[in-house]
Amino acid sequence: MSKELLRLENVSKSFGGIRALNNVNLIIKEGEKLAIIGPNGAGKTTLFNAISGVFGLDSGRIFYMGRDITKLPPFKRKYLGISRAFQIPRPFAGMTVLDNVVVGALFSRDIKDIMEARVRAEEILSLVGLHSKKDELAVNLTSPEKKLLELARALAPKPKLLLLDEIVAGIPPAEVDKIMGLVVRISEQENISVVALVEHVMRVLKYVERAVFLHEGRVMMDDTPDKVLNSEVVKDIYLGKVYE
Amino acid sequence: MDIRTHRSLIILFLVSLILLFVRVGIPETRQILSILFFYIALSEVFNLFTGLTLYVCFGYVAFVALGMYGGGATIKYLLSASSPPPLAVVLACAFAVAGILALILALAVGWISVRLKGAYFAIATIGLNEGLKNLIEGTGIWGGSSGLVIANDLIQSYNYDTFIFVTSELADYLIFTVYAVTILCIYLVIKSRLGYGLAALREDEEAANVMGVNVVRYKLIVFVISATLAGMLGAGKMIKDVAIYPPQAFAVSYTVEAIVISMLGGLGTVTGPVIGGLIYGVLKYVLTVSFPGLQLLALAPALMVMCVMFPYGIVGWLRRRFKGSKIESLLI
Repeated sequence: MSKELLRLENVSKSFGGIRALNNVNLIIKEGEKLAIIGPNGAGKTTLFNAISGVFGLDSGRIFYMGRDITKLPPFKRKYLGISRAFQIPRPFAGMTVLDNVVVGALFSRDIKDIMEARVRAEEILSLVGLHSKKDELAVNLTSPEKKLLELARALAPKPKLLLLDEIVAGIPPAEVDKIMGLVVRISEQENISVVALVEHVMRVLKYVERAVFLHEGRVMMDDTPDKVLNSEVVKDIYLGKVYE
Repeated sequence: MDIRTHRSLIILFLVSLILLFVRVGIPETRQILSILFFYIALSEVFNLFTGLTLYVCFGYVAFVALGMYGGGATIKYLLSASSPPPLAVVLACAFAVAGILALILALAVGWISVRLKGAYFAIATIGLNEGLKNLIEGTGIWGGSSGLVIANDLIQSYNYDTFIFVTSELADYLIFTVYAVTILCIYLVIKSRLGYGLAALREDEEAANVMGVNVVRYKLIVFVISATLAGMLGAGKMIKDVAIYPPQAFAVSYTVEAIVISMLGGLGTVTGPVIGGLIYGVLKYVLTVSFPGLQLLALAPALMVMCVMFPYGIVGWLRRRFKGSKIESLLI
């Protein structure tokens, strides 16, 4: 059994009258690859916001490597190794592709100075296949390239936990395998735990070991991808009732 | 240290020195260049915070005014002794006090206000100059509404020739020194981890925070450095003007000119305010000569046209125009 990396204990968060997260309990182990699935509005992105610290929780606690990080601001969580790629890429548009990745690399515990961050950024850009564009302004990239840049920025700081928010949404099917293959390869090389949020389940499930099904802010199932996908509850809520 | 990596800064510094020599060598340029120096210095100081963060602080004039008052009061106090200390000591103390006062005010104001985002920060700082002005006028400290004048103190403690030299020559060199320190500060900030963090937060503050940038601390650091330098610039201005009155000291107009110069040259660049300042100075001078009395009316449309033509400032435009060439690497 590998070690526990992140633990959510009874995490709840409401917006107005809506309970976006309702007593969520979740444990993520070191090096694990996990998908969080669920329909639109299930609370997936809210869960990521809670883990990365964008807002405070109503109740519950979050532990990372045994340490209570419930009250830590986002930048400290990133520094400790929790790295996130946004659903809609948010590159620093006026900066070059390389500088975008340097920023990602620079603010982390494992990278000491700008020189080291640049070396790491170039290495990651080569891995994701954006090295030839490193001097372009980020604003000039195509949509799939921006997704790759988002991924590169998140990988650059040598994170322990990588949060991928809909990394393959809006990507042509042929590219999905390329991106997911990349994520799997790098995460296995560097022992990164990966949590991917996905709505298009089929495309991603073959790359993960575990699937968590979220519905109305609640964890409905937590099992192997096959079992989750074939369960009645998931079929009912998510894929639609089968007409006999 | 490899000198070539800092080539751009060295060239900018040499160009600035040439301007200073022109000012010293050609008496006709003295007045216009010394005004220009002050505005370029002010724009650089302003740029250090606003250019690097894109946060607008309406209270900037308060830091300059506080520096003028702090510097002036220090000079007055030291010269009131029966045997006044040497001039160099008096001036050094004036600069130190001006900087420290501005630093304390910036820490107090910044500690709270940098937690606000974007426009809310600007609104929070609006009251700063009015507040300080009313405080000085209301309580009557530092001469209250009748102002603080140090001309007589300087003449009596030293002599008339020294007074003329200090106010018309030395003050400009002191302002130039503040300018030189400011460009060095901006340069060092841009090249550091702090600079990367600021560049990120300027683009997208929330994303920067999630990517590990301590946005509140970073904003506070440059706000305080910038305000301190603004205070020291105020001390230089006080030594030059030898008098300060609340209505002029807290007039927002001249900080607006600093904003215009920064935007014209290129916000967040080191060379921008120098290029912007030169163009603005020449433009204003030409318009004043050719349309006397109407220069401000003519200046506004002229600036609008320039801002439309160069949305990223002249330096930003040049960087795009000469992308990948040597010229781009010189335009820090």
